[in-house]
Amino acid sequence: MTEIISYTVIAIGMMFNLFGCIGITRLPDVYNRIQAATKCVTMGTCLILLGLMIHAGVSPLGIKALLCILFILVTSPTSAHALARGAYKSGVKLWKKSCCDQYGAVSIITAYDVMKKDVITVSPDTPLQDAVDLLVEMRITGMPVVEQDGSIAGIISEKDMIDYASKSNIKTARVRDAMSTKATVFSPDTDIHIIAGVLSKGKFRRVPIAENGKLVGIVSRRDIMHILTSGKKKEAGKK
Amino acid sequence: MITFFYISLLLCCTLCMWRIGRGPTAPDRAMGIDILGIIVVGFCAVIALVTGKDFYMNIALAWSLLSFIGMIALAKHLEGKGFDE
Repeated sequence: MTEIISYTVIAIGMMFNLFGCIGITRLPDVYNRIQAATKCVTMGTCLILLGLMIHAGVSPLGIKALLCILFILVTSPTSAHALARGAYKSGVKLWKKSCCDQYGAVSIITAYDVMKKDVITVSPDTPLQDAVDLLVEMRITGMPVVEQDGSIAGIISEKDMIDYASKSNIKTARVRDAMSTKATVFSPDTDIHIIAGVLSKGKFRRVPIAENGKLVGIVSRRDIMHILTSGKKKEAGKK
Repeated sequence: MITFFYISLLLCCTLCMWRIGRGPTAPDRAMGIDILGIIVVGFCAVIALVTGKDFYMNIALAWSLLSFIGMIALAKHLEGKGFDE
């Protein structure tokens, strides 16, 4: 009786092994193959060992088979995960029909990781003279203009101020008169590559980051330079 | 019945070897070796079943251990790191 049971279990294990190996040969990319082979072959070999255990009963052979089952159950998925990660890091591409790449999506740097959160802002009704003083004092080249309720009215930079000063008197003016109202605003989850593309065009030196119309941060060329230098998400986020 | 076990295991080994030879990338070959190692453990189990000798299971345990360590080292190497990182 035990013989029939153990042989049946082993035969089922063999089927799993065979299907796993067919998976190795038939599936399109390394990640598919790893998952098919590891799942099926681990299951199949464990069943073979289980059949051996049933056959041998409580004996050195049976105990060793049990040990082997436990060991394979722990190590086989571990090595498969390590191998998949190694394959990904070494640059093996996914199959072209794969629908999503969540591991890759995690490593995208967003505007939120890079932006400065404590932004120096100015209200549109501030006298332009004060804004000029503030820029010079804080050693920055521009800042967002923010209404009382936190919404972005525009952006004012050295260039806007010099432009205005060349045409009229800044002593009597307010920020509203000089600022540029056509600020390009991004949301915090924008891929940093898009923002870098906009900044590299040369029109702006900084872009405000807003969520639901409220200003939450600012990304300047300097912030992008910080990711370029360290190449690490964490250090860039601290800045 | 035993013959069927041997034939299917040999078939599995052949398919793995085909993948190891075919590639096309290094992780493919590494994965083939990993799976081949596990199938060899199954092979040892069947031989132990036929002969009733328990030292074949010692071989199986040692083989799975070596295969695991080797695979972790290969994976780390593919990542471009040393074994102790």
